[in-house]
Amino acid sequence: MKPNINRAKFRKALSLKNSVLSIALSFAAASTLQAEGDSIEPSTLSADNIIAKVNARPEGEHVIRNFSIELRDKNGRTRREETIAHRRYFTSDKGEQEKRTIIFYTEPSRVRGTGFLTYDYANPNRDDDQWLYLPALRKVRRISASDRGDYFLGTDFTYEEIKKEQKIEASDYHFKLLGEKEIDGRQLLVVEGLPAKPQIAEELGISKAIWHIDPSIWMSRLSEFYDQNGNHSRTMQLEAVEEIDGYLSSKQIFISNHKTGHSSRIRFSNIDYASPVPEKLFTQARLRRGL
Amino acid sequence: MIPLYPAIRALSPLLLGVRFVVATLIVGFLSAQLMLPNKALSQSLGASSQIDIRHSLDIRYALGFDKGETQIAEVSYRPELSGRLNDGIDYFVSARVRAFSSQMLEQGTMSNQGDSRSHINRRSFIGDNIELELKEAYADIFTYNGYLRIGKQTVVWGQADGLRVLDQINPLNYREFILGDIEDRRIALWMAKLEHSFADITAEFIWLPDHSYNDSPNSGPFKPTSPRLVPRLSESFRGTVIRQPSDRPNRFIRDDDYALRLSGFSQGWDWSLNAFYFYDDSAAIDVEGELGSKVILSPSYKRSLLLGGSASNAFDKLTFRSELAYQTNKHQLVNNKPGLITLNKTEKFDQISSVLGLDYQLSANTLISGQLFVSALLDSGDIDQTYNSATLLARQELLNDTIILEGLIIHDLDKSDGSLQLSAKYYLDNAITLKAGMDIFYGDREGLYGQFREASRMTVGLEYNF
Repeated sequence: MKPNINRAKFRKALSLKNSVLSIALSFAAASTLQAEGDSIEPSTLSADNIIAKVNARPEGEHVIRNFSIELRDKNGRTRREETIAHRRYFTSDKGEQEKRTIIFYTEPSRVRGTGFLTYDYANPNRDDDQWLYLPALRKVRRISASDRGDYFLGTDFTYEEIKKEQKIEASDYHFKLLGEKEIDGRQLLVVEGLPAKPQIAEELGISKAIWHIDPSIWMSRLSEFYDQNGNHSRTMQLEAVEEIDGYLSSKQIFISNHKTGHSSRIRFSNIDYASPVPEKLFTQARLRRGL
Repeated sequence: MIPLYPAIRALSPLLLGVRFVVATLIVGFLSAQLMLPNKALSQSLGASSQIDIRHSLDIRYALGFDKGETQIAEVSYRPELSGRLNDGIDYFVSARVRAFSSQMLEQGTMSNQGDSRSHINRRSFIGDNIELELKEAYADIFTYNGYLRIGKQTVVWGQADGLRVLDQINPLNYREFILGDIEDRRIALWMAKLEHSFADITAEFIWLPDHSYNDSPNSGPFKPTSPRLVPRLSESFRGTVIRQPSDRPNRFIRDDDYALRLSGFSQGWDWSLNAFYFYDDSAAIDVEGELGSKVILSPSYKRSLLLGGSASNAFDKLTFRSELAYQTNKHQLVNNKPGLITLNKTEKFDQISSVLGLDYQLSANTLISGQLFVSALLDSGDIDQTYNSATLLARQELLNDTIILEGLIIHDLDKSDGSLQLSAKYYLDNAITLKAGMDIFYGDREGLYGQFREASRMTVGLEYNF
C-alpha cells in the first residue's frame, strides 16, 4: 500500500511528460516561424503580438522522445531520473483537438515502470484526465488534475510550464513590452506579464513574470518569476535548441528556485517527430503492460 | 528507550543468512558484469534485443513493543532479469532470497506448505534461516491489439487500497498480517492471461491452473486468533484437537480458476465489469467432535463465483473510486449457539461487498484519502453479519519529494478495533532509501485487528537498488 513514488509525484510527472514532449514540438514549430520572424521588425510588434507569435509555433502531430531530469539540492546532491514519452494529437467527435501523452520511467530502479497517461482537452474549462500506474501497487489509478502552479515531479517547474511547453496562456496575463535587451549576443524582447485576475495569480502562484523572447525562434531564452509576495522566486533558462525533423525543439532547460536553493535541468534526447505513434498506445491497458 | 539486546541477539543467526546473501550478490554481480554485460549484450543482439538486469537489497528490522523482542530481522535480495527477444517476445524473471534471524513469523512453514501451495508454487528453504522463492517468471507474446502473458505472475483488480473486494486473483501471505509491502505479500500464480482491445474496451481472460491459496502463519505474533478467522473452542472443552491437512483442489482444468474482465473509459468514467470463477483463498474450516472427547478441524477450499464492477472519476482535486461485488458460496465463521463444542461455526452465504473511496489532493505535496468498506452476508437470518470498516490515509512529501511521510488508519466500525500505520521514507539518492515506521493495533482482542495488539511494533529499514 506504499508506493515507491507518491501520487502527487506521478501527477507531476504526468504533466512533465506533456511539457517535455510539447517543448520539443514547440521548438519544432519555431523553425516555421523563424522565416516569418526574420521578415518582421520585432520592435514594431506589441506585447500581445509577441506572445501570439510565441503561441503560434507548431508542435507536430506526434513525437517520441526521452528526457532526463536532473535535480540538485542546495547542498549539491544530485538525483537523475530517466523517462521515455510519446505524445500525439487526436481529433474528437466534435472536431476538437486533444493532446494525449504517455510517459514511462526507466530509471532509477525504484521508479522504473511507473507510467502516466494524460488526456489534455482543447476546452480550457475541461480538466485533464490523468492516470497513473504504480508498479508497487500494480494498479492504474485515476488522479485528479492539479493546480497549475504546483511543482511537478519534485522539480522546480510548475505544471503549467510543463504543460504549455514554452508557450504562454495569453488569457492569464496583461502583457507589457518593456523594451529590448542584449543577452549572450542576442537581442531579446522583454515582455512583462501580470496576472489578469487575483484568482489566476493564486492558481499560478506568481505575481509577475518577465520573459526575454528571442524573435529568431519566438521562445523565451530567459524567464523570471516572482511569487505572490513579489519576491523573485525562480529563473528559467533555455539552454539548448535544435531543429529536428523540421521542428525547433528545446534540448535543455534549466530552472533554479531562489527560495529553496534547489534547481532542475531537463535534457531531451532521441527526439523523433517522424516515426508513427499508434493511437492504441494511449490506453490504460498499455499503462499496465508498459512500453 | 529501545532495548539493544534483542537486536544484537537477532544478528547472530542472521549472519549465516547474510553470508548466503552476500554470496548470491557476488554471483549476481558477476553475471551482470561479466557473463551478461548489459550494454555489450544489447549491442551484440541488436537494437531489438535487450537484457536488463537489476538487483535490490532490503534490510528490515522490527521491534515488538509488547515484550521488547525482535519481530523481524531479515535481509532480502531480489535479482530481476527482463528483456525482449528478436521475435517480439518480452520476458521477466524475478526471485527473492530472504535470510532471517528466525522463523518467528512463519514457524512450521516448511512442513505445511502443502496446505496452501501447489507443488509448482512452493518456496525452498536452506536450514531454518534462508528462504528462496521464484517471485515471477513470465513471457509476453504480442498479438494484434493485445498480448498473451504466460507464466508465474500477479494480476491486480479493483480501485481500493488495502481492502479487497475485486482484488481476489492472487492469494496473499499473511506472515505480517496486513503490514509490510503489499508487493511482497502477494503470491504470484502460474497462469495465462490474454488481453485484447477492441474499440474502446479492453477484454481480459485469465486461466489459473495453479491451486495455491493464502499463506497464514501457524505461530508467531501474527498467528490469527480472532473468531472471525479461526474456530474457537468452548471453554468447557477438555479433549484433543486434531487438525487435518487442508483438502486442496488438485484436478487439472476442473479445479482451475477462470476470470474475465471488461474495462473501458466512457464520458469521463473509468469502469470495469468483472467475473471470477474460483476457489476462495481462505480455507473453510469444518469442526467435528463431541464435548469431552476430541475435535477434528478439517480445512477445505470452496468453489465460488464473484461478479462485480468498479467505477472511478476525478472532479477537480477530488478523485472518486468505487467497487461492488457479489460473491456466491462464501464460507464464513459465525457465532454458534451456546453449549456447543465451538463458539463459532462455518456457514455458507452469498455475500455482497462494496467500497467507496475519495482522494483529495490538498496540494501537490499533500494527499488525504478516505475509504468506506461495507460487506453483508445475505440470508443470514437473525445473525447480524455485516462488516463495516473505514480507512483514512494522509501523505505529505517534503524537500522536492525526497521525504515521504504517511499515516494510515484502518478502523473496524463494528468491533471498534483497528490499526494505525505511520511511516517515513527518505530517498537518500537514487539507489538508497531509508525507512522507519510504527505499526499499532488497538481495540477488541476478538476483532480482526485487535487480535494483534501484542504485535504492535516499530520498524527501520534500508533499501539499496543497483
